[in-house]
Amino acid sequence: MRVSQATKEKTRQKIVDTARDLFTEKGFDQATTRDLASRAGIAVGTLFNYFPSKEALGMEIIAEALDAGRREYAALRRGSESLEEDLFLFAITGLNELKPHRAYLAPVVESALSPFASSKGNETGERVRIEHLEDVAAIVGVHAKTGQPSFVAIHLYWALYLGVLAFWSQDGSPDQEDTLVLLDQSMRLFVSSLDSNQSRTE
Amino acid sequence: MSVNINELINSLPIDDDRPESPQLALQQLIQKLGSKKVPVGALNRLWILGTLQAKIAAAYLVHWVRSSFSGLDTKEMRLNETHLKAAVKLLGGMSYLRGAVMKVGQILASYPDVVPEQFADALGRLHFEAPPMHFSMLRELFRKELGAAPDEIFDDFETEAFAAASLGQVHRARIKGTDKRVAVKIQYPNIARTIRDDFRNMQALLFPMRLSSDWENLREQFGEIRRMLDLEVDYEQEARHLRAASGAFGDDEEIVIPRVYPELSTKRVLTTDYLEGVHLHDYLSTKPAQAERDRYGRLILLSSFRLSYSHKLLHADPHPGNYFFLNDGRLGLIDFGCCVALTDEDIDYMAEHFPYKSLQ
Repeated sequence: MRVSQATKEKTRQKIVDTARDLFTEKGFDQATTRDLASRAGIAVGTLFNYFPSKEALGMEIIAEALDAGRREYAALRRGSESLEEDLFLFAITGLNELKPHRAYLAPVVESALSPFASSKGNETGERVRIEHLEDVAAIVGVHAKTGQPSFVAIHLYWALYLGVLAFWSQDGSPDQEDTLVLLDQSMRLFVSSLDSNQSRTE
Repeated sequence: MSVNINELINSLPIDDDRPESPQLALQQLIQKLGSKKVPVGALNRLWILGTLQAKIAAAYLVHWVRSSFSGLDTKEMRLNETHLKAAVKLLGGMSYLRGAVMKVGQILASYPDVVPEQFADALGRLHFEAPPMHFSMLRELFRKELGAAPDEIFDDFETEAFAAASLGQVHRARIKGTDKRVAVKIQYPNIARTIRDDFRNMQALLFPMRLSSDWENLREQFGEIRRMLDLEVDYEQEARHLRAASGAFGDDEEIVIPRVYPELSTKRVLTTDYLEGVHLHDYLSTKPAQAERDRYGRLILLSSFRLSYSHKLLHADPHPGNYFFLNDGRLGLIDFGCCVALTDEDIDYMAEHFPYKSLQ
């Protein structure tokens, strides 16, 4: 039983690693599930047992990159950041890890993280969304004088964050420097909305 | 010595009793521009689109303020000031526009006859405003420019900027493994492209004004601002000027040009020696004796003449913020972002009107 679980995990990881290479090499659109299965040394049917679609697999890769970003955030955080800077750092470390996957971010995010996607649509996407927002709530909680952000604040944040992701995936400026500006101003906008809500309730 | 955008706002006359939204006020202001023969329809549409357009509005302000503050009665004047204040408040809130706001501010400040004196005074001090880029942003910019984070490149990189440059900010640090203190200037992301875009848009917007009597003058003004900003956004150009200028003064002289560290500089990062000293205002507050003031005055003139005649370089932005009164009594010249190469014809003209020899 234990062995079988370990083997399963090994196969799953093998598929994700193969997909990561294949997507980078051929591009997301060009890479077929048939290519993927043969390169991973498994049957196409087996592949679908693990991941229902190419987008789901893409989301898995993105989730891993965001996990790496989270570790990078923890390593770089000095503790003296303002809330704006803290949120900027949290987002930018994720984007930096996502960089090799930027070319196919759009189709994957659209299917797995879209605000219109149903929560049952993609388990990994849903996990990423929840974890990300929990982290953001925790960051806000550390800085805020008055507890946790409201559901409105959290939804506002998520809309801004997805907007930055969408912009970044298409950003044609040198080295995507415009994204830095958009992200910075988005985080400032979000924090100023928290501040104005706070002063209204005081 | 610092002034922030709030001080600037506070230096203006107080608001009317009814608090007014800055957005609304600026919108009204832009609508009012309709009677000033500017393409208000286009401007209104652009205003709705957002921040880039707000900067264009700022550029319009320069023109508008110049033309509308003179010859008004007190009530109208008050109203105009309220609008101006609202516009500055709004623009000041957009942190990345601050570079542009500061530039506009500097330009406005040079027209003391058209803006309230207090306001012009506050604008004049904008050179020293604390800037808005946080360290996490700097880290990203440094990785793009120099391939590593500032604290990996330098020792003791100070996370807080000690000075604002008009289009960036300056941090103190030490060259790795040495005691050598340096000033590291960093430019805001995308400011160079934004400025170029703005001027393109602005020219398009101004086109309908081409028949007005002021057109040539206005076009020249904007062209000049554009040239100035183009020079200032290229730090490699500034580094070249700094190197050229430092050749004009020997080690034993009382004038210092900070040394450039080319391996730690790019188009958007400029690392130079850090000069230990104070600006004019702080220097004067120590109440130096007249002979001392005269000596510094002479050094300022000497530096300018030597650069012009021996090195054909004109420091085109010689405002007080660019002179440093060093602790050891020497004069430091900084910020060669806005430097112009002189032609032989220029030199001849100058030699005729300002005889250098009398200083030597």
